[in-house]
Amino acid sequence: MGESSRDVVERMKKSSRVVEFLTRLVKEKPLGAIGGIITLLLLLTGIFAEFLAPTGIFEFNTAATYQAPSAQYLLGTDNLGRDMLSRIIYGARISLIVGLVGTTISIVISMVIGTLCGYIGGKLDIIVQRVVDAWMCFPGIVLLILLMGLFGTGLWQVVFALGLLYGIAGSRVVRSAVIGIKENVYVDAAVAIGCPTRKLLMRHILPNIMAPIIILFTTRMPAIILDEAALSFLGMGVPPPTPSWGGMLSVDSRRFMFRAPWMAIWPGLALAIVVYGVNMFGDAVRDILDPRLRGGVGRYGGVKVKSKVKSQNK
Amino acid sequence: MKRKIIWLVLSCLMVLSLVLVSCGSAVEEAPAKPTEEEEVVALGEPQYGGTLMLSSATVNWVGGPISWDMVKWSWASQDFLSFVQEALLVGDFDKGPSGTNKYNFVNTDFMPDSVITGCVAETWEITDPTTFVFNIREGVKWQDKAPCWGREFTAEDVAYSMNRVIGYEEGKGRWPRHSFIESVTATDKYTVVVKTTDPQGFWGYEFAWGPYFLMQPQEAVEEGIEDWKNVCGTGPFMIEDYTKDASITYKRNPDYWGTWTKDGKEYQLPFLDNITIPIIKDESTRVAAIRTGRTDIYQLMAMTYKDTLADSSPELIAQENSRGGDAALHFRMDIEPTSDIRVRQALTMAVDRPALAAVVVDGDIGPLHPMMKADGPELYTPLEEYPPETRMLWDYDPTKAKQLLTEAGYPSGFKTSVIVSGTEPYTIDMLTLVKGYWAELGVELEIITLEDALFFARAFDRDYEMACIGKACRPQAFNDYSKDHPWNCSIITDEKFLGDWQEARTTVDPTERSKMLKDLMVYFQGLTSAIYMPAAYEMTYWWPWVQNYNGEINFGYHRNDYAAFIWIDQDKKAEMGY
Repeated sequence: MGESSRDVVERMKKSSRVVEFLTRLVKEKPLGAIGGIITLLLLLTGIFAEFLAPTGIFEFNTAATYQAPSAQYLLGTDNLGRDMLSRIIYGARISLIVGLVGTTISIVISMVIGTLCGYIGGKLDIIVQRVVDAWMCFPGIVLLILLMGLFGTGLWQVVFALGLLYGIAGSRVVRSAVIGIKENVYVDAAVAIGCPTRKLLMRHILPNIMAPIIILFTTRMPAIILDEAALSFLGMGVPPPTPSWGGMLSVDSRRFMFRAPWMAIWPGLALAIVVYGVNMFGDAVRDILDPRLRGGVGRYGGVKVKSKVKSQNK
Repeated sequence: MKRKIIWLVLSCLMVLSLVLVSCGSAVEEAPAKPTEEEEVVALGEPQYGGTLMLSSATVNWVGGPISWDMVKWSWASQDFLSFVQEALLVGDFDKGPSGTNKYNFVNTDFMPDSVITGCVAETWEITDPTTFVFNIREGVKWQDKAPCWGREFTAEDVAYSMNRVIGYEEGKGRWPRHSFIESVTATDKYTVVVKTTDPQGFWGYEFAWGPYFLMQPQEAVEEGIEDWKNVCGTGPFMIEDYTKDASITYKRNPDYWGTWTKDGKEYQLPFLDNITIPIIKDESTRVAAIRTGRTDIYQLMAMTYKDTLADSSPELIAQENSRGGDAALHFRMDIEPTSDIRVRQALTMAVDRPALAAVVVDGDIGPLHPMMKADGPELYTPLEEYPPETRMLWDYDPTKAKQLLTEAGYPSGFKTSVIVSGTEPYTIDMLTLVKGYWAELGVELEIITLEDALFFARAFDRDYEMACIGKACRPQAFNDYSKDHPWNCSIITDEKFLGDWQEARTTVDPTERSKMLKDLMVYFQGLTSAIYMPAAYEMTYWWPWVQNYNGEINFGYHRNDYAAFIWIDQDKKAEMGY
């Protein structure tokens, strides 16, 4: 029988959605596209670090300490004779894991708590928000130390602790957004026609709060990376000698700032570029996906479909 | 949109300029230091007056006094109190770098008996190995302020102060430190007799010039010794003002008993009117203060700033000091695989310690062990005189190390871990290199950094495979290896070592004791209980207008008695534009 015309249209719509998205990203949000490329580069660097780094992760050359950038060591060496370029590359992996996974965990926690509290409200909202109030009273670093004391040290413990810290505090933002959306008429209409709560949340509430969530994601990620640095400084972060940008910036580079300023500049630069890129990309994605900013006919301003449907009249 | 791009371009240009700056060569070579001949300047006539701004090592570590009661927090309290209060004995200033230079007076925990002199005790004698008689100096007075109002200092004061420390209820888990002191009695107005339960070879450190036994008056204890206004002593200075997290200011004690003789002329001490210790928590701010002349002396600065200070302030006088006690990577001698001495030897020989020293502590290997320091010559045996089987431990020989490991049954290496405090960056750097060296043997080392309190909790609970912990630079540190001692991190139970130590510890004659300790150190090193990391050097800086000072730091356990002998050459200071 072959594909029905409807199937064809759906299939072409899906593939053209991605293409359309990317096209809009490049045409309308060039900075966002650059940010996207930076994010992609970060991802690829973290994944393929072993192939990209000139030296091994723990390799050192005690005869080549404090070397300024040169042909042999493109970004110089540190106080222990380790290649800075290799450490930046391997550090991307740690920062990626900490930044992306930690932020994702925090967003999930924020969404779960915020959506349930905002939508259900009532006693649940009151009780949970008092717990959130208490949580937010404590300085972040104190909570982190407490959590690390409970979980122990290690990369994944750090990721989870940071995710929990930011997730609970950030649920407020999500809750506010959900309360705003909940008051819309279409939500009442959905309830009136018997739409199940789960479907209502997934179809009507969550898509409309993606904008603040994306902003939360992009602003949280650098904060989480830097908090990992603070934990490293206290001896609770990523265990040495595993490189992380935050650790390189806050621990080693401060001690040798005058003697080898590149020890601070490269991880700082890497962090700044990634933060900038993620922020720009996040802004662009938010703008493109925001339903209120959609124009024209159809989901992405009109989908051009090459019709393969034969005329029914033939 | 255009504006965003313009900002982006500007940001990139700024970053590029930073990058280009950083790609420049390292710090230019510092100007040549004056030769020894040029440095020797005749000491002028002492001048009275002036204020010394002192960046104290202890303040820089702990950020200010937590307690004014020495009993509660000895080592740091002692540092602040030692300008004001004194002990029975003290290091002899005239035998230090500013005098005959017999000893450098840097170490907090060790002084050869030959450089010790009387302080509040004028003379002393050891009538038998467990009886120590101190003759109190007549004419010494408590400072003329609340709560003592200048009354005479007597043997009763010594007995009260010492008995208070001995009888103080220590918190749970603290080592029973003074249980060996049987009694402290004032037999007459100027005589104190200390009796011990057994002979005490290190009696000087334990109760005459060491920790805890600065003389504190009964009136101050009764009035409330935690209030700095009640702090009173017999020393050259009195506390004038204390502002938490800001500064401590001392003023001259006009009734001080001490004098100093130079070129046949006697001078009343102290020379300074005031000493101010600013409490600056940020290291770079403290360095800026000495660089700009706002601080006169900076004690024990990290080597990191050596080159930049030489560049920016070449007039500063500098002295390198070894830290003495530094980190040791302790092997557990009671669990496999490190219970096998061949494994310990292999792991030790796999580490290139000169390279470690060059990279981490910036230059010389320094003392290889706190008690092997050449500035403690009575205890020092040069490495060349060690037996070959012990001397080889200092050779970097990965081939031999691999062979030993294979003989011990670990041809492919093994996995292990070490706990370390996260607040010790130099130590972590060294462990990073050790990890790399051991990787060549197939030994996989996991470095577990812990917050300080957690680190010590695990260390004392023996919850580790290896532990990296600092070691004190004093012979008495051998006591740390006693059975069940919390600092016996290697769990040493060697009977010969413990027996020889007990014998040395109870030998009162210093010559005989030194010989025993020298032999004991050689034997101890052969046990290979730990890898002693190269001790970091630190720099003490002072400006040329600070006179009669040559880098002294401790005239006893955290004792600042050198301060009484310092004066400020105001003319020189003005001449230099400060």
